[in-house]
Amino acid sequence: MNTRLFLMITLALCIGVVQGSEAQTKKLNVVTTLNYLKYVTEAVGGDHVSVIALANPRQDPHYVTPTPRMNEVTTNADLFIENGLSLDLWAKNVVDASGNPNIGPGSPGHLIATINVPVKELPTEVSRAWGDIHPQGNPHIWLDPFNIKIVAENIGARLKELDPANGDYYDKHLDAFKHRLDEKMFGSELLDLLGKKGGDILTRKAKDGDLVSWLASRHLDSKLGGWMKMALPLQGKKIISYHKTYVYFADRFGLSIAGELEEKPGIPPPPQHRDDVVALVKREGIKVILNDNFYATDAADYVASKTGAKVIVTYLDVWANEDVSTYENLITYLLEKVLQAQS
Amino acid sequence: MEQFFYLPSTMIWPLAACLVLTGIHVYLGVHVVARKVIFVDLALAQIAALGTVIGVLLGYEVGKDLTALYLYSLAFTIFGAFIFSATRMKGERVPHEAIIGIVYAVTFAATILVLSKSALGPQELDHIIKGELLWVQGHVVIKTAIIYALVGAFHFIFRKKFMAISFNPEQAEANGINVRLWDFLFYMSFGFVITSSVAIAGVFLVFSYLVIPSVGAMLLSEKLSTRLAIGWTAGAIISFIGVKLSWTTGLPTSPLVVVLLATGLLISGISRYLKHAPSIAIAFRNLAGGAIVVALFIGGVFYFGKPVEKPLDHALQLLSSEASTERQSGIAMLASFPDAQSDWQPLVMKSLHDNDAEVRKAAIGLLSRFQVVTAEKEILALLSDKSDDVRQAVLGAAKAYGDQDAGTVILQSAQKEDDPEMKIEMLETALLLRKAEAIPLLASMIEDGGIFASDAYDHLQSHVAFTFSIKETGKVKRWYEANRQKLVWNASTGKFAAKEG
Repeated sequence: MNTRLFLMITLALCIGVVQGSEAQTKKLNVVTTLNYLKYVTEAVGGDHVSVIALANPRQDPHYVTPTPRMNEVTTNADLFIENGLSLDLWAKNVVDASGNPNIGPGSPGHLIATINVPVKELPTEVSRAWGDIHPQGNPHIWLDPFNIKIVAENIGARLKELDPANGDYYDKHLDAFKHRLDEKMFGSELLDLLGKKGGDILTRKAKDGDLVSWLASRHLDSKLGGWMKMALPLQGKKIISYHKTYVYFADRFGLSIAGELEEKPGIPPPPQHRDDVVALVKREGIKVILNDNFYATDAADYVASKTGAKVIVTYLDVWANEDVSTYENLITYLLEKVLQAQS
Repeated sequence: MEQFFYLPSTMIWPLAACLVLTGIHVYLGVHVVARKVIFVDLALAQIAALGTVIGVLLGYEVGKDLTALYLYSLAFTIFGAFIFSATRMKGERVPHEAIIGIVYAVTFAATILVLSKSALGPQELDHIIKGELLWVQGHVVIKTAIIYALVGAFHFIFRKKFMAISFNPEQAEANGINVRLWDFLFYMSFGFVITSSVAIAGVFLVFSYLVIPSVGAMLLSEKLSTRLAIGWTAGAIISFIGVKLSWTTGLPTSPLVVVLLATGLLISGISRYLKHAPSIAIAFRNLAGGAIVVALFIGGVFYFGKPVEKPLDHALQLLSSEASTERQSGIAMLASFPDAQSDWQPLVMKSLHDNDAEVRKAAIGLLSRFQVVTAEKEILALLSDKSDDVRQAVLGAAKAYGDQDAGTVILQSAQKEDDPEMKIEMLETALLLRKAEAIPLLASMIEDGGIFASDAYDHLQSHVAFTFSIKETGKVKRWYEANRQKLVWNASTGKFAAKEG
């Protein structure tokens, strides 16, 4: 009798241990379209996620050719994360082809990372020409670190929903990541001064464009650090870009985008547009032309040869190059490049 | 007339590039059409592109290592020329065009394979096809013109041999010409030209210059020299018109030139038809008939275009879109339809509970803008929203409604708020809604000290008709306690004052 009881207890314990260790080692399989999403998911999910990004960070995120490997890795995914906003439309093909019912649009295993993000260039006027290139707004939201905090919150909430047992872990990592970004943005000295809600408050002030004047009025301007301090010399400086990729980046760091080289994505621009850009660059004394690494530089070179502006070939996604091996490095890299060209 | 010939200086180089292309390609086109190898330029251009992308794969960078990449594409082109000269078969057991097609398809596929492993994306293919005539720079045009002049001179010197192998290869062989060698030289010089041309103008413009003028001239004349004369003249005129029209209409240059070249071909086709028709009357009748069919077809295409939705319906439809940014757009558009409020109000009220904070914000904005009374309570409930953007929008809405009862709700929320800046904003909103109870709460925040004490002080001081310093919060509290029954809000100064007597 005793032996049987003993055996049963031992068996129950064994099962418990096995289950326990399974819960410990079983990671959530996450597939993301872009690499910055992978970076954020790893920052929030830590040891409890295993993440694969589908796109090559050096290639244009609008156009990614699906491969069988993509379908294969997506078949076992617990969570599929896309940027949305009509940027990574190819994601739909991958999700469909994977035959994975857990990650279909609208299911808990499918996340559009950009909800809650204030998206720019939304069509707000009723016009007869419904046709718009980006009817869902400008999708390149990730070059504004504030938006990355929102993306991280969205990812954190979804990881918690899929893996409630590790909810506290995700919360802790999310807060740590947001704090890290706030420190990078404003410098740790200022952040510590403002207390627990400092990151949120400074973020609101910066979004309203009041940050610098408010800091000055409170004699805190010397405490500002991080990217915001780096970007101070760039305030109000005008730049040109090839595609509307840098709208969020420019807005956050005080740059102003005076124009784009392409008039419509993928269509060669008409002659007047080209001449207008050249005239604009001359008139405003613009020194910087940002050209994403995956676009040909003919147009930028042409404008540079007529004006003396400098063409900067930039990377857009994490891991496109050893200089941009983290999200934080990507932002630092872009700021440094623009600062160099401006000086 | 002068007006007609005017061209802005910035369009001179694109036009010059077109004229250089016309010069060499009309001539080469005559050969290509005679040899029935129309698509050889597409294949050679693709081979050149493959050379470039392999150069990139091996570490050279576009925009930096120009010479190395050019040499890569040139080497590949010469290799292509070798393939084409070696595969030309006597008696056409396998048509040469078939070989060319195979080479084209295979190199295209190979290019995609290489691109999938390299830093360049499909833009590079797109770039090769479309070209960027507009961005061509003067020194490139001059360099190209010199190279083409040399190739032209080479062909002119050996014109008898080149003509013989293109137009009559059997005869040439019988005359003792080494057809394979001269074929190779032909394809090599041809590939040399194509590589440069495609870099400037893209595959489809180069193809058009090669084939369309030659075919058009063939329709009009049998004689080679006349064909060349017609091709060059027409090509030059159409180039000018194309570049000029591109400037005046704002359409992209290369595709416009291609379409105009085709128009020229159509005109030469019609004139040939009229010239050779047995009876002019019947010819005109047939042409008119054709024109009617085309007109009906085009008219039908437009007639069956998607009917335009009513703007209001469109905006309402956007509210139920799956994409949250489209829902935001829909709400923004509804602001133009105040008269249709009864149509949109229930839907927008539902949007107050959208899962995207930006949509909730937009809905709060619209409903408070039009003072939709039934929505006020639901909006105030969003004071506990997890997004501080939404909470701020609620405060804005409360001010817009100007409802004093809302002030009570906001005061309660403020006491629970742990974000000092947000708390100050809430208390200020309460003051604006004539809730004097916010005065001691703000005073307490000043006493708490810290960075936000100054903010709290600024806001409080600007809303009470009682002057005090930041250290005198006790004084304000006492003033409030003494006068709390007779504090009156003065809307014009935006301050609370104690009513006398």
